[in-house]
Amino acid sequence: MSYRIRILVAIGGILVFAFIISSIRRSKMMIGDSVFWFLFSLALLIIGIFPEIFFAIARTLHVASASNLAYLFLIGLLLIRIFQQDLKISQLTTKLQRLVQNMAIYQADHSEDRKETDSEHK
Amino acid sequence: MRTLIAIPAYNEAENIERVIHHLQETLPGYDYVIINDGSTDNTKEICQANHFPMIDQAVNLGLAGTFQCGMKYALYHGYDAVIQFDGDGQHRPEYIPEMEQKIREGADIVIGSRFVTKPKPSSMRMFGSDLIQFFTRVTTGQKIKDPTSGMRMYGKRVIRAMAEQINLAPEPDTISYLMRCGAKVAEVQVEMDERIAGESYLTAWRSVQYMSSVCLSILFIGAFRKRIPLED
Repeated sequence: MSYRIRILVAIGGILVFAFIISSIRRSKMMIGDSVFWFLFSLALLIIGIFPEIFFAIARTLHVASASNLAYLFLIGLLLIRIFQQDLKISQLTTKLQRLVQNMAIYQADHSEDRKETDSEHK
Repeated sequence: MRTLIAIPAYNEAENIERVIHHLQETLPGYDYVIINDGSTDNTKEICQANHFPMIDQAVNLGLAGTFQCGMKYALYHGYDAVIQFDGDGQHRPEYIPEMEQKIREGADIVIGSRFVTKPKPSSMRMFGSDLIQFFTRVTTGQKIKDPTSGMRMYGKRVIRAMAEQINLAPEPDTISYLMRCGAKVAEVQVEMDERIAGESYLTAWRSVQYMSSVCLSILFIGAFRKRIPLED
């Protein structure tokens, strides 16, 4: 791996780290959700500084080129992440639906009209 | 001083009646509120049948969101202190007045600690506690003997922030962060009971996630977070 790419990867890691920190500072991201991105930025930094690790893994797995392994690794990681996000979006949608339905029913039960009809019945 | 006992409850049907009756007997006249975290069992119905004061969350938010709801309730009703009290019977109400006393003496956070005068046993679980204790000490210079205790009382200076801001869940990293913002922490020796029925929030895999998130938050993120001013 050439020096340029290594430096680029390391800088990428540092940028991801800075971006996440600034998101947390501006109260835009929950700390629990940021863990993945911290580990990701750390991984980029390590690969940038010590690419030998990647070459060693590529040799043990009999992958011809280390950059192919890097793509495989990144795509796999992103797929897992997308799946987790879809899972979370589904859960959030379900929660939102339940919340809106509960509120709508609550408001219908407690609206002024309802009070009037209730008192007429009494 | 008005203290609110906030009791987050998720599927505590087997415990809640016993816990609340014991609380009422031990500390009559104290205000308390159960925050039902969208339980799927009949926790809600039991509270209604017994006329326990309850905030009923329509969806499950987890402990952080549920306790924050209690904090908001306390803020809107002008309470001076809030204690997080488990709905499963682990926490004993008789220690609450002693914790209140520490708030009166100027503490912002009082931890019901199992290891002030008693030694900490060594186990896998306590290794996590030791690790968090070490990180808290490195970042704040203060030794918290039981950082993972869930029995904590919060004073007025931290209630508003915790009620309104994100990333201030009632967890050890928040304690460390609030200490960096100038909050004073005190510990009171307490005994805790084993939970009698039901399941804990923490499973093995969740414990690992919890530990990594808390440690990362204390060590790295804490250093970069904006310090918030603590006001009365």
